[in-house]
Amino acid sequence: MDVLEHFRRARNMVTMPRGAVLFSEGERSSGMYVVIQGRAEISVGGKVVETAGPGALIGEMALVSSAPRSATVTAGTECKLVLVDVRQFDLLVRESPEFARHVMAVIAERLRRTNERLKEALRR
Amino acid sequence: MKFELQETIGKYPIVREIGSGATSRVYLARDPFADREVAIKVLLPGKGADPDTERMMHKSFMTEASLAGKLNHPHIVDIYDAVIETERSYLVMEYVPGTTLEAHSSVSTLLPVGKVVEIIFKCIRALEYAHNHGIIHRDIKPGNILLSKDGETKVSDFGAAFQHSQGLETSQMTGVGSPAYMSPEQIRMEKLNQQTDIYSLGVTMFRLLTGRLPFEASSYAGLTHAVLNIPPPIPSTLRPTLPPLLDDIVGKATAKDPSERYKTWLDFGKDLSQAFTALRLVGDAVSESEKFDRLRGMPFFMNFGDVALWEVVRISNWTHLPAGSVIIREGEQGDSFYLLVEGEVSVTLLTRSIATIKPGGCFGELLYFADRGERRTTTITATGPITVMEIKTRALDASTDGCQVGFNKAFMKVLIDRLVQANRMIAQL
Repeated sequence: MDVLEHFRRARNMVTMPRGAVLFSEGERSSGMYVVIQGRAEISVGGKVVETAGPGALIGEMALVSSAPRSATVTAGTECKLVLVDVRQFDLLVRESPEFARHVMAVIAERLRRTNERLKEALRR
Repeated sequence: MKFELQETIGKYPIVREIGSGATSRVYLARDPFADREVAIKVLLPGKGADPDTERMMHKSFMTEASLAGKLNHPHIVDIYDAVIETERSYLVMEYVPGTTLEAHSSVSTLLPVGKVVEIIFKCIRALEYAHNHGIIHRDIKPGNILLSKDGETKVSDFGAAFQHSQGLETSQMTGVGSPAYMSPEQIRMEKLNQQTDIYSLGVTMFRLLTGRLPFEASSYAGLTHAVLNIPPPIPSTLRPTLPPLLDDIVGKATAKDPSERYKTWLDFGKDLSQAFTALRLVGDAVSESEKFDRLRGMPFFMNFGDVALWEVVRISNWTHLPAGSVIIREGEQGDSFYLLVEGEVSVTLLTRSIATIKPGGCFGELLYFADRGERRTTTITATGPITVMEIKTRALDASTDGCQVGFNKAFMKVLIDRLVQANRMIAQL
């Protein structure tokens, strides 16, 4: 699914200057963001663990879980992002199994990587 | 009016006649557009019938036609289309090759007890669904329940049904129902609710278990007198091998006084599924209805409707495994995911236990979202005897949208819970 194409013309697009913080680790906020333009940096404990480019999803965990944000997201360059709230997300998941699969593939990939990190930590 | 071969009814070419009654004739036909076989019920104009009867026939036909497309349940015969014309009126329905339960209603043709319980359980689900749509069937009997060749159960003939939405007093419709299966309140022409169908299904169960009716009489008056006044025999007096548990259930479903009868389909279904669990001690395999019931109680399937849940039962494979069995091994490839039904399994990573999964939990789902060729990232081992349900990812890919959407929502929650948990563990190390 081309997420970028789907959200490119969304009305609730926000622009963030380089260095701005979208949300911080431990913060309780909801909503997921889709990166449309630019690069966002995801960091845990002050260390950048991932860079998210156009088409990437950020903060999708908050849509399903009430746990606080597990990472801090900062704009690495000027970024354009679209906010998807819980209601819109539910609607999208229901109407587009393709979208749901995409979101889950992203989460599954993140979980796989987290498991790898866990494995590394266990080896030490 | 009789249709000859090569003829069509509307756009449907007729294959052959499959049955006829006093008021209608049923044909097997083809739907050329949907490319499927359909059963077409054609209303026969009354021959010398009195105007009252004819009006009744027509009304019943219209009732059934009005349900077209309204009831969509795996255990209710689908009505695809209804055509009411002055020339001819007909209903286009799902074709279910098989027989009605009439074929299993005599002493020599009874089905195994487990099968009867399963059929009744499915009918309960179907009629509960109809009730939730404001519909009371009013003519439940073995002849109106189909058993397909592959063993599926389907409730049919909603012609006598009453829809709350029409706002009519049900007692205004007389002559509806088969006296031997009619509830006392239906005979007394009182206002009816779902309990009348519960009674009729109870009598149906009595018949399927014993091959006999609770009351038999040579006249209508004699029969109605018995239904209203005489206590029914206990099923096991007619078939001594029947477990007492089923005696109780049939007794409660066929209680004359509605206040002593099951008040809701839910209560009836609950008792029946418990009976099933008890009967299983005799060594039966897990029946489909029991599987359904087990899954219905799991939070994982909270977002699944009945239709989607029956589909899950159909596409899944259940197995019992002894303690120590390895279900998934780290590094192996796989093409299925699992849901734990009974027992406990441990999740290990590099031989270190990182989690325990309890009944209702799933595992192995990560590969469902991965590109082909990904490998299992953890090992799953049974810590005691377990019952586990396996679903091939290919089967899920081929399932209906409703089923897939249900799984997507449930998986999303699972994945995120796992991610939260993994992050927490990393933070603690």
